[in-house]
Amino acid sequence: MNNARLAAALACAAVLAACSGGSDDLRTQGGRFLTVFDTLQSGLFAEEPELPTVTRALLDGLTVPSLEVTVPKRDGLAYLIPLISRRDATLGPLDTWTTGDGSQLTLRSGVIVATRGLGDDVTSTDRRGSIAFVTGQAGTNWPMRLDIQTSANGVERHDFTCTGQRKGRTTIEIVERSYPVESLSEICTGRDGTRIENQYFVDVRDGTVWQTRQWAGEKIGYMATRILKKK
Amino acid sequence: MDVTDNNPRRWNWTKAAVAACAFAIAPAVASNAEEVATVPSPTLNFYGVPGLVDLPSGEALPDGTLALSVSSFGGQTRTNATFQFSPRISGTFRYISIQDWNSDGFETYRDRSFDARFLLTREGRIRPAITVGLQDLAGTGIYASEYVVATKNFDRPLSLPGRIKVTAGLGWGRLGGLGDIGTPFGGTRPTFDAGDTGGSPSTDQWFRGPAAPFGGIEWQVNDAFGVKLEYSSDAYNPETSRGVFERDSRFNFGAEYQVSRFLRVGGYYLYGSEIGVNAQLVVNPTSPPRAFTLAGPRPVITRPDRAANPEAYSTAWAPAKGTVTEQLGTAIEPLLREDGIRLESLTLTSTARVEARIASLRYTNNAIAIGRTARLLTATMPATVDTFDIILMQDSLPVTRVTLRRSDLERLEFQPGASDLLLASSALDSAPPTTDADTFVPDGLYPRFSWAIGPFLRPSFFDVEEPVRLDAGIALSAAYRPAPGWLIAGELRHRLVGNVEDTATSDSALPPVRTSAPLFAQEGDTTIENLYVNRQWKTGKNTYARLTAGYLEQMFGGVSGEVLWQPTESRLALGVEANYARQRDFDQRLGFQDYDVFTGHVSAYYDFGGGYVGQVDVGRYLAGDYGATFSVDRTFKNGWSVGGFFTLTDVSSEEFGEGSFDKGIRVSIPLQWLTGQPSVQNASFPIRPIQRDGGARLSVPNRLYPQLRDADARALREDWGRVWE
Repeated sequence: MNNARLAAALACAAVLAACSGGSDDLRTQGGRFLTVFDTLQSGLFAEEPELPTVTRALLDGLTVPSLEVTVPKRDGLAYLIPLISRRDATLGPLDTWTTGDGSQLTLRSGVIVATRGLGDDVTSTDRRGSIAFVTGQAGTNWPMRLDIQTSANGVERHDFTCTGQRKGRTTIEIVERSYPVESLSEICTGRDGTRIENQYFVDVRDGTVWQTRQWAGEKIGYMATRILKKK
Repeated sequence: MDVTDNNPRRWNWTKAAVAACAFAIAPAVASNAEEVATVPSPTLNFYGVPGLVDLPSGEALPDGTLALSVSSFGGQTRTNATFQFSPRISGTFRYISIQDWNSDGFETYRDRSFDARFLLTREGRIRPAITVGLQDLAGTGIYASEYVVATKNFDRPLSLPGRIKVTAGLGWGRLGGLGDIGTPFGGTRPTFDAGDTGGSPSTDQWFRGPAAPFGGIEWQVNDAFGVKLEYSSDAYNPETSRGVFERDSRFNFGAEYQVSRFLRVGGYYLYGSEIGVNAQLVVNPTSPPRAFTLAGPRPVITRPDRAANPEAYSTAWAPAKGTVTEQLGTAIEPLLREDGIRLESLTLTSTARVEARIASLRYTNNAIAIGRTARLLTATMPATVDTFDIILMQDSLPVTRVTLRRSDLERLEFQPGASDLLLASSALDSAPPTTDADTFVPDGLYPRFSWAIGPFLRPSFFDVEEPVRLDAGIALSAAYRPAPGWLIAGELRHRLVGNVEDTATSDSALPPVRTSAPLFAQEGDTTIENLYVNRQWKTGKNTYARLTAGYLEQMFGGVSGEVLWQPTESRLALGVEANYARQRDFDQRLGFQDYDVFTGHVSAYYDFGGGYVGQVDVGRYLAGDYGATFSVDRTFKNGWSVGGFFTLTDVSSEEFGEGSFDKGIRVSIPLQWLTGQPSVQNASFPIRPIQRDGGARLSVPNRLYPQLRDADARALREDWGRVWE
């Protein structure tokens, strides 16, 4: 047993002293140890920057728009900036937002149509009904489809049937600023009985979707978005 | 089901996000407290299979589960590894030690055993789950027994919380030892023989002799706690007759606690006299400890509308194609490298088509490398280029060509079913061996040199005195690639500590090609693990070749040649390998011993689909014996692979020695499964109950089939779900 302990201690020392060079990962034991060691080092010992306190003054100083996203199920909070905006057909622009480390969210009229870089991502969607609802053109019920990335490199399709409720006018405040909005609720039931409720707060003046809470699959759960600074 | 936020889990998904003006953003503190599984898989018994305390139950583990457990009571310790190979079939490998044996020449009795279980019926609304099991199925093993057992779950029975599982079964052999109801299938069975070499399935004694009923109840009070009570039919004759422990009761009971998603521990009182413990580590490859996350990709850049911007589609650059290719290649090579992709060449085959040869350095899933390369091409190629040929290279071997239409990339990303739509409109075929002359090849592609200094471990399993022996030290490995297809590689090791050299040497009727391992361990502290030159190339549309020469492995050096036929879309691949091998000096420096052999195999590989790959190798082995190796591996889409193999040669069981023939299991775990971060590295290890000289195969680096399999069209299709990631 002493030998085993000594071996473990020396192996640890060797890991700490391990190093490598060149552009190819070596498929040797040493190479593999290094891969794990590097990952652990970057994951466990990396310093996480402090969250700033968001104030209107800070936002006013920004030269780019900003979107706040929270993912309660993962205790996640991030502030995103625009990556790219593109238009196709008639449904309005597709706006892709990103964090500094490449977590991405693509919105269409405030409706989540894709995520990237979160793990268990929303690969693609059919949310034409939700977009119509948020932009005031919906019928009484509509289909919603979410394609969710699986851990087995596949995509799992989730189909829902949704109805909407217009809950009337209210006022919301986002970082020291008030907006007159209409509160919308989208209630969707999946084929497996999953019931979710998405919420949208839409500016009564120009239709800006300031704040939402939308379901993005079982693993991510609900995502809340707030526009801190508009384009 | 209502989906709400009241189940906070702490996954680290966000990191810093930087807006302009140092407006930076961070995640809330992330920890990785594991969530206790809400639907627990069946719990394990002392034999490491689904069950009660010491008795089996009728349930199967979830498909693909790997369960490792250690149990101990009355001086008997069992280390078990169970793999649920398919939804109905599972196998268990077990290593045991029994203290105070004091007979048959052993103070402590040690043995290895295999179990197989087959789920006859899944549990229904009324029907129980029924399993038939073969325990210690080879030889006259100490645990040899067979059983048929049924288990039924009852949710919230009698208004109690949690669920109750009721189990009842009928056992033969060891499990037919007490309270038998006669001999339903007649026959007698030989008593346990501690000196038997074992190893072969003892079909003649299965379900023979007396059968006895057994049963029990498990109450899973909640997700974390459970209690078990059972009535055993095991007489424990071999143990009690030798005074290992006293058996005073047929009742066993215990309590278990689910410590984390993976770990369950229990304390028990067995046979009216003994305290026992059991630790169960249950891992399912399909639910990794950390979600695989990858920073989002570059955006697809759409071209301007052709009617509105005809000048953007000018082909005025065509006469200067060579220069343009050079400029484009120089621009995208560093960007691809940032994404973990190596550009090996770029060719504008016409004004409407580009070919990029790439190798994935970071992603096991090649669909990710394809998708990211395509995204970058949308951002950089002239607007007239509408077809992308992306060729997957595997260590200089062009394997599969993926042809994508640029307009599809622009159109489909946010469409419902985007991955399937892109696959349907793309073509996958075998990559052509060479490319045309007007090609950009990045500077620094060749020669390349890489090196690493790190620790090494060399385990040796199941010696008669120690279940695991280990050598450890520092290794320097290096690889030099002077030109496409050429590799000069080697590894120098220095052992710092270890006890493999204390392994007992054993007599062998065959040339000691593997049983001489202790001699290699005794004589070598600073050793050359391997040092070889390898050349591999694609000889035709579907054929590949390899030549390797040098110190191929720890014990042998020589020359190895291989040809493989593997059409990229084919389930079947065929290979021929011929080697001349000579045994190395025990000190593992540059010298050789006298023993040499011509060895080689004809191999067939068949991809059954669903991740199952079978392989048959027929040929001559290191000791000069002729025979065949059969293996089946199951590879999960996330890269996990678990399999088993056995080799039958013209060596008789007597000549072979303990174990009768060569067999074992092998497991390969992708490092990205453990870390959640992309990596092409795997940790793989074969485990043999015993390594003898019969059926021993030369270990050759860089065999072709394993290199190519991840990059063939079938693998790409299976992994295509991540192409937009």
